[in-house]
Amino acid sequence: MPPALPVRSGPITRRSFNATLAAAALLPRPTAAASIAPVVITSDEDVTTLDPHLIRNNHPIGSLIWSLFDSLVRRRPDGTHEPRLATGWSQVSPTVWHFTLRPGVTFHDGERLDAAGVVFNFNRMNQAPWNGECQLWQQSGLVACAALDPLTVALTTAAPSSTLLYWLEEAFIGPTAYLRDTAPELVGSHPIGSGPYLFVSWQRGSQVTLRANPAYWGGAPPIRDVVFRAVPELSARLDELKGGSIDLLTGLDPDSAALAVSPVSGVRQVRGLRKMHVGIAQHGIAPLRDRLVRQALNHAVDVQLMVDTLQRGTTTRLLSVINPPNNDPALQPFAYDPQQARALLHQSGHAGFAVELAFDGRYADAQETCEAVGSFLEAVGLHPVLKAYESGHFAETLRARGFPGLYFYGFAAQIEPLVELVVFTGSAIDNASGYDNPAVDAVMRQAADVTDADARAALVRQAEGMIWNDAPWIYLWYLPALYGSSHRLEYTPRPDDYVEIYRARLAA
Amino acid sequence: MSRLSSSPRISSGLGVAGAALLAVAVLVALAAPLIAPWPPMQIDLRARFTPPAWEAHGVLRHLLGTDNLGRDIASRIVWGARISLGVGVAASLLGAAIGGTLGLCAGYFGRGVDAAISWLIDVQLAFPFTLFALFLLAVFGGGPGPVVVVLALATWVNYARVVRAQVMALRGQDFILAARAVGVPSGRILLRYLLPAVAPAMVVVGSFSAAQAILTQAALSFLGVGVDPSSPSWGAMLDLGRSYILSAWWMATFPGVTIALVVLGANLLGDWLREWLDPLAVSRR
Repeated sequence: MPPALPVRSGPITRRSFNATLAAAALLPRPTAAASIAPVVITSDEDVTTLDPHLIRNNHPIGSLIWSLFDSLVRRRPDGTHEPRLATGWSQVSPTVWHFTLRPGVTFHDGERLDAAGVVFNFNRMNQAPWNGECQLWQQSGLVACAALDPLTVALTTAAPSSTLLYWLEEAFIGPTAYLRDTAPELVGSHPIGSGPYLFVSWQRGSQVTLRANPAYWGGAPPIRDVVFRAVPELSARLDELKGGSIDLLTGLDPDSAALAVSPVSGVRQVRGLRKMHVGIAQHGIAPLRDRLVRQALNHAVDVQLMVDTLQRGTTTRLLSVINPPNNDPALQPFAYDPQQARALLHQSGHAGFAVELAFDGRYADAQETCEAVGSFLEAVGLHPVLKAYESGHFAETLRARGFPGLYFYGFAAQIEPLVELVVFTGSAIDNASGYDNPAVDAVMRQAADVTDADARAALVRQAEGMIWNDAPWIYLWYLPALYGSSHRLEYTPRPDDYVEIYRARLAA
Repeated sequence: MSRLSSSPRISSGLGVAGAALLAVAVLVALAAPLIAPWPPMQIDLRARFTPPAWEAHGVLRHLLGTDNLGRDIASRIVWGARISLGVGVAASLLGAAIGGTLGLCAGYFGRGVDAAISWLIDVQLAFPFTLFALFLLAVFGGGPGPVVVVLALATWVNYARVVRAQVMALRGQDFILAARAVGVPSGRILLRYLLPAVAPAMVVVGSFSAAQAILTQAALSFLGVGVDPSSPSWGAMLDLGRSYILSAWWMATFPGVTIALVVLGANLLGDWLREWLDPLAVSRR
């Protein structure tokens, strides 16, 4: 407690006023906890919902759900798994898993976590509209879940699943009574979870405010007040970072990275995992269905030059359709060789065709990347036509496999070979290019069925090589994960865009 | 009296300046292949963000610097003149054809025809044009053709109002009454008697409309719904440069200055033409 100011009676004279002022100046400064400004994290758009089962993007919605809620399993930044609400799990048969829940966990509204609640949450994820975003059931092959006792949940999959833990890491648990008895809109605007942060307020179109949960089972997070704020313009985000009014800036691109460096801020970088590529649609113009043409496209584009110039060397070119460290180190990137590209096009009998090259505004460098790719394709005699799509229209066309030619896209930042390969199987929901090789599908089915880890790895490697050489994409690079950060914030970013602010702390 | 004699001279000086600015722009557009040092679409990734020649690290071969893909800014502005002027003039002419015809009909036939056309003019004026243009281009797609049509839809009202008012004044004059009395058909009266009489006014409106069309075309490209996003249009260059305004000021500045100069030129010329072709404008002062 600061000492009390000397109290004087009588009129205030200039002398007495100055004495009071001098005494006040000698007081210790207010204690740190009371005066620390909230940590502000930016995004380029506001959240659209905070429903735990409607995670539409990794940031900002995913980052907020990860802070407000818990899942049974946490995904570490390197893709491995660690206990969260589940303290342990075991595979009692190839298709049945038992998860033991952490005892004594309570939600922010006081409800206690139990197995029946987890089952309720999983069943909610399997209903519309939540099953449109939450992929747990579809992707892992989950067919049944049951509460064996108050702290044990049994999950059954249709076939042996190698991706169950991965999808459980994105399956967040809320309190049963609140989810059941509250209008979905209210659940989405006033989230109640068991996570390290409590929800304080959401000013639509502007910001979401959180406060540390002092009763969190893992201990209260180091930073007390956190604000997620939407600032659409990168230049405005940079100005705020340098002005000291924000702490973590997302959506930084290589060209602007230097602008984030100031006396109060700097750049943080981790190796990115999102695989940027130009998809080669298999359901549009005929030449693209020819493997020789697809290989020619890969030989035509000087990816290394683009990495060195457009990306300023902040990333590396794709080495496989599987992310490191699980990729096959023997795979060779397609060499930049326009002669070879022309020869392959000639050999295929499809030289000189016109092709649409589609992009949207999701990635800041989409247009310049496509213009550069287009110029390389022109140099081998093709006629690329750039077409800008509105983002919603782009996503819709992607889902409907409606692109007639090429499209610029980034594929998920994951570290799980089977999850990464599944988009290349003929029947997969997310198979945007429509690539369909029955031989690959057969190997993938085998890989999902074997339980022996080594045998599975060998099959995965086989499929990986087949896909790589079939070239369903023009392989580009890993999206660089660049963040602007204030010097007071100590945080190591993840490569997959989620911001785990509860793992950050403030510099002393 | 002194005012009458001096004011046209001052404005004629400015008018000549405007005409000169436009003439330079037209010459540059026509001679683009001869004077542009680089092909406008030529990408050179190793030379991206080269500053203008007089800045540190600038090079003479890229006089006004390069953009984010290493394309030469000066060459793109030169080639962009073709798009901007071409689209501006074409839209202005199409607008003149539509607006002139409707204005003539409204003014000459009066009554129901006039009411219908005046209603159309009011509707067009009441509509927020940018919204309308965005809607049309989103539905029908971009490209020079649709942009010209959309810009013509923006400018025809200017012609229609002026022509209608002039024709209404001329309609009761003796030479028209005489023509009607001897049985000259309406079409011939409109084309041979009235059109030449309103032509000077249309020229004046045309110069302002062209300026408006150039500016609107730049705005539409800036909003991303104009001609092909990678084509060297001034508006699109300005939009692209906006993202790099802190690190590469030359990308937005030079296209912006060019748009300002050309639009200024067209407006100065228009002002001067108005005084020169319309003696009433002088005597009214």
